[in-house]
Amino acid sequence: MSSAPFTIKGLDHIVLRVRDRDRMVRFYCGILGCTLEREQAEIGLTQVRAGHSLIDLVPVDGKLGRMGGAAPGNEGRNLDHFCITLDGYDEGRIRAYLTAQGVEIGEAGSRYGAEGEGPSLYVSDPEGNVVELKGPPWIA
Amino acid sequence: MDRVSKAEKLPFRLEGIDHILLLVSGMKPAARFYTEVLGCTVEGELPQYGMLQLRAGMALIDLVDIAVPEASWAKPPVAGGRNFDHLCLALGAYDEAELRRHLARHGVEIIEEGVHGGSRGESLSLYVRDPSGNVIELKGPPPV
Repeated sequence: MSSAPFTIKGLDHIVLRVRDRDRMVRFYCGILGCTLEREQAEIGLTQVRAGHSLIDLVPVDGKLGRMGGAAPGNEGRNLDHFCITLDGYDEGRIRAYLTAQGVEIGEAGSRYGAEGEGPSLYVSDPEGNVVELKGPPWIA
Repeated sequence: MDRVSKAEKLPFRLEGIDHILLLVSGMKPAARFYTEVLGCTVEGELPQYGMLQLRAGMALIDLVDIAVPEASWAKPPVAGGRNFDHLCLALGAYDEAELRRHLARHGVEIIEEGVHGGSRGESLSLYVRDPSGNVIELKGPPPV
């Protein structure tokens, strides 16, 4: 049992190390519907909102990004994927939309997430990070 | 155009980050860190995939131990790459002195701190490393 003097409420944000900030913003805001929350160009940080969470994009050649060491290679990673909850899930419509946007769709299936088992599919962002898009659980 | 949100024609709306699959090297020290130091609870064990599912409030953190053959599916072809910088955990209100003592008691070093913005606004952030070197930001609610 932990004696931690705090409780974790959830994931506040994750910080992705990116090579092409503009391309990533186009994907997360233009396609997935995140909204631009804050921009701090002087330190190299773009924050986009995904519901109650933020996704921070840190270009590896910016001030913050350089502090994080060498640029990630195409094949080197410390994050396998992350998952965003959607408030509704009509797979046909989501597929048609993403396909029209030129997003390659990976395997769809029923998967376990924080709210339980529910439908989900994988997509890749422009830099190869795998993003799982997950609908509400089968039994609410 | 960055500011253009196509939310009106999107067939979905984003609610938040549900879970994240973190790569670790060595499950025992990682599990100890996330459960004993951070207070996550074990939600599911999937040794056949080298995975441990932990609950972190309303989200999950899945640890994948790339040091074991069962997790070869997740092992990156190149070691040491970092596609994500850090993960921030939203904490409930806490006593700062107590939190610092707790981390010190577990030998967890605060590698950086400062008042930074998060999804709930500006508040103190304490940055620590998990035993595999992943950086975790601990962040309480903004002061009222």
